Amino acid sequence: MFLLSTQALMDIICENPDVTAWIRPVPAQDIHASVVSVAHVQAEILSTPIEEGREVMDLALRAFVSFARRNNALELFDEGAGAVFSRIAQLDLRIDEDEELGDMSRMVVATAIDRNLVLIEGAQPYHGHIDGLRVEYPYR
Amino acid sequence: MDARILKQVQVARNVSRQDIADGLVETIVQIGGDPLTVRKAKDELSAVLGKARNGVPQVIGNIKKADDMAVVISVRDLAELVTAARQQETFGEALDAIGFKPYSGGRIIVGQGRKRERLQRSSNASGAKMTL
Repeated sequence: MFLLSTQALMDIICENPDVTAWIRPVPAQDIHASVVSVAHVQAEILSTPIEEGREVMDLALRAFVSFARRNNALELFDEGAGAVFSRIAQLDLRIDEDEELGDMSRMVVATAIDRNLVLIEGAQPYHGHIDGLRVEYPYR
Repeated sequence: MDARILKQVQVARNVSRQDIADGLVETIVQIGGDPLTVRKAKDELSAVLGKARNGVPQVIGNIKKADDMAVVISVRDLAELVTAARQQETFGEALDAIGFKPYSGGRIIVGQGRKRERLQRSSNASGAKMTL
C-alpha cells in the first residue's frame, strides 16, 4: 500500500513518464494520497496563470480526488499523524539542493508512517534519517 | 455468489459498458433462468427474493430491451461483485474510467512552502509555557 508524496501527485497531474509508467499497473486500491498533498497541489495550481494550464491541471486534480474519494484513498492528517509529525518536526531534514524539508511535506511523511504506507517519492537525503519511513522510488 | 458471475466481472475490465451488461445478463440468465416479466416477478416475489438471498440473482424485464431490464441481487452478493471488480482494477484503468486528462505542459516542481513560525514562549517565572 502506497502514499503519494506531494511531488508524485503533481507528477501524476502533469503526466511525468517515470511516475506514470510505474503507477499505472499498480492495483488502484493500493494508491493513497494525503489531504495535505491535495491541498498543497491545489495551492500550486491556483498560483499558476491560466495561460500556463491552470484549468487543465485543476480538472486533472478534481478527477484524481474523485477517484480517491471513490476508493476511500484520501488520508486525513489526524491525531495519529499529528503525533508522528511532532516527532519529526524538529529534525534537520534535507531535500535536493540542500533545501529544508517543508512542514507540509513532513505532514505527508508523518501520515505515511502513521498509516504504515510506503511513500512514493524520488530519492532524497532525508529518507534515511526518519525511523519507520519506507520509500519506493519510481523515478529512473 | 456463483463464481461465473464474478469471473464475468473480472474478465470484462477492458470492454465497453454495453459488452459488460450483455455478458452479465447472459451469465445471470444461465444461472438464474430466463428473465421474468414484471407481472410474474410480482406474483413470485417471495421466491425471487429467496433465490437472491441464496446467491442466485434474477433478471426481470424484456431481454430485447437493455434499458428495461433489472436484476434482483442480495446486498451481500453486490458487495462481493464490487470487491471483485475493484481488486482487479489498476490505477491507470481507474483514472481512465473517470476521464482523467493530465496536463501535458511539462513538469512542475512543488515548492516546500513557508517556514514554520516558532511558537513564542511567555516571559513568566518558569519561562516554560508557550502562548497559544
